[in-house]
Amino acid sequence: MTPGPFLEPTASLSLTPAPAHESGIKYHARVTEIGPMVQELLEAGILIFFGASAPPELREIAIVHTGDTLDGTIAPGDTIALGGTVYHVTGVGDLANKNLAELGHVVIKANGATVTELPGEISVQSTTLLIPGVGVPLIFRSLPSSPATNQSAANQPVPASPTQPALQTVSRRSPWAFLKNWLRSRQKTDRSV
Amino acid sequence: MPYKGVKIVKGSGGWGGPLTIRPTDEKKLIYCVTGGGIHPVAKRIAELTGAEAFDGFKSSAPEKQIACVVIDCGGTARIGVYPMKKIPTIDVLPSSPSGPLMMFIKEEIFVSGVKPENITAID
Repeated sequence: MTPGPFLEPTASLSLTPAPAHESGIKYHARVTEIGPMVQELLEAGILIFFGASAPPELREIAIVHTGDTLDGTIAPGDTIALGGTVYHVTGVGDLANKNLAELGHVVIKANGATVTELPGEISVQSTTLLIPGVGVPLIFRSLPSSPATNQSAANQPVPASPTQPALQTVSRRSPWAFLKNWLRSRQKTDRSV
Repeated sequence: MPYKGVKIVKGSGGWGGPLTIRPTDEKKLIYCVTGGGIHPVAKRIAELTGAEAFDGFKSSAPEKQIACVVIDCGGTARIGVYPMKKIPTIDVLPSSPSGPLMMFIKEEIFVSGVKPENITAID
């Protein structure tokens, strides 16, 4: 059985981000839940994030995500990709990295401040904040915004590089693990593509 | 089982309070949603009252069992949520009312900058 045309394996197909040391990714997560108060807080100028360990009353006010590992520290100049939208970090509060690392918790405020108003905040450029959809990536990285992060295809946050192997190590939490393994099995058994 | 009461005053640079916390058979949890496990302030309240400290990031508990909550909020999310639910809130950081939920943060329900020495038994 040959794969369907939409699943043609290619050397440049990248289903998961490259390791952090190659791509500058410091924190990678996927949005799982949007709390009922997020819209109201957006109108007040902030987006609140919490990781999966958050209790119900904090999930009500937050964008909940799967992230749990901070590699390095978030600093001004970094970018935050939330689905297809990219924000540029202008300031980082004193508690922001600790909260992000321990609780997946951060408050993003689009006020362009270099010194945040509150210690748990990360300030980004003055712009309109958008509520993401469930399932989109949330990625903090140290490169300036790249063409791939502005794509509307939220499943490919890292630009495909010809030097990247077609099949990379996939974290257990990757939503594409099943698809990747299926492709690998097709490549091994069917050379007539 | 009789629980004891404590009085909690604001610490240096803090705001609000004083709060009197007296757990009951129904409201017997000292709920802690700081990072890094049960905070010393939550432990101290639990010791003096005889109630049980509980880590809200490790497991869940019904709101109606919560006598008070200990947070380490830098000033936006947790600082407003618990006063909004009328749960006595003790912030270990010296925060003042701020954020979109600040209208709920009143002195009768919130105290900040709290250290273990700001907690005294009153029974």
